[in-house]
Amino acid sequence: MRESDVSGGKNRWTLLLLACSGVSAVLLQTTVFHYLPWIPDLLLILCVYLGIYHPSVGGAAGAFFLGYGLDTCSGVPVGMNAFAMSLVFAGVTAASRRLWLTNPLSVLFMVFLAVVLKTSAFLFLGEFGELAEVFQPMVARYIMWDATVAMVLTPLVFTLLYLGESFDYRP
Amino acid sequence: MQRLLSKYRVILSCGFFLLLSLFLAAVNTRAPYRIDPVGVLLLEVMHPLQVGVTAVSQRTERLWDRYVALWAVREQNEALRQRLEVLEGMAQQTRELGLTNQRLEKLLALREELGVTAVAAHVVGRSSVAWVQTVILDKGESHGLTKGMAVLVPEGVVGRVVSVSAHTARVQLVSDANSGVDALVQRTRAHGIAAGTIEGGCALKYVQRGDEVQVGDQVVTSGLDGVFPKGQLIGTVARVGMKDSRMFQDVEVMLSAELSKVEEVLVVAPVVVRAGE
Repeated sequence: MRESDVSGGKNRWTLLLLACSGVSAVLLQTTVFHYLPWIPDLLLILCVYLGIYHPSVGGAAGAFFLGYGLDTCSGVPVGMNAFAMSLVFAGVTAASRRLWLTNPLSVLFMVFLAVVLKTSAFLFLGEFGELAEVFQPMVARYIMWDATVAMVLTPLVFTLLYLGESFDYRP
Repeated sequence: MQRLLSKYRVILSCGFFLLLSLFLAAVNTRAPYRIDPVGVLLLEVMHPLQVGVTAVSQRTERLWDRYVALWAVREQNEALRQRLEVLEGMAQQTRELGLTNQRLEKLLALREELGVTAVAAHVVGRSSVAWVQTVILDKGESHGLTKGMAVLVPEGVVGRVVSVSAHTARVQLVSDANSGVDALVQRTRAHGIAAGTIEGGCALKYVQRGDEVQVGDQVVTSGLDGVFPKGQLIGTVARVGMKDSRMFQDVEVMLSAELSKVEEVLVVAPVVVRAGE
């Protein structure tokens, strides 16, 4: 097998894995997680993962579609989550070019910043609609809870994705 | 140009997607019900998945809720059962107090009817030997009880005090084989001695062959023995027998007081029969 074939296969496997992860995350967030006291933002963690490990055009498109999918399936005006996710991806990508972000603590800190960034993006866009009124009084509480839950889940999601990508798909 | 695009392709793509999403957000927040063809397609693709996952999660939730509810019901059931036991105990206690009260009221009425010195006492012990019919009372010498006092209940004669200590008294029941109460058949005034039998029953002894006694006749105390007040019910004639060879009739008496169930009694001072009474 040629090296280019291996590389192509690997890319397809990664694409499939990330797409499945994204779809699963959208499904979980829009259906199952509503039974939990706080909905974990798996898509945000996935977006941070893309920003750190896949800082590419594909990664940017992935982040956009993650947000777009969430917008479509959750009933939020289309573009809000897409914008927030794109912004998070851009922020994480920019940071990962200057900082060493594979360290677990750095990743957790980046997830915290991503939550802040996403919430800020939401609020920024909310100024155009009615969402700002809903969010503004509980921003701090929302950020703290969302960040805590996301940081707790980050090691698990990152490990699963890392193991998935390392999986030898060849027969 | 090509090289520049290639070098900054990630930043450029980020910018593109940011602008695109910003545009979409701006359009959709102003017109939230605008039909988005890509979104519709995405929704159509996701729909079966969402329906499936929702159905599974709802079933799981229902199952979990029922399971948790079952635990809550179980705890509630346990608490209610304990409460029921407590309440049943209280109800039983109340019933018992009511019955005791009724019995004591009857004893009080009997004491007033007799018009003699009488002491109410509780039965606190019974003979463990079948052929000795005695009970122990919780009152003794210190309460004014003496040997030979009559023991009664509203239903009839119980027995007599055969020994006393400071705080207890032993009573020989009328059903004891060694007991004897001077008695009369109320209807015909036939005289006899009501004595216990070895089986724990009672017989009216020494009734003359010529005296008329029938089943159902009531047997009462004569008052001649100086122990029992006159006219206290002993029991009812249950059987009358007569053998040719004997001088007296065989009269079996069913005691009116249920001696095995007596709990409170009235101990009455010996009766002094005066001439002319």
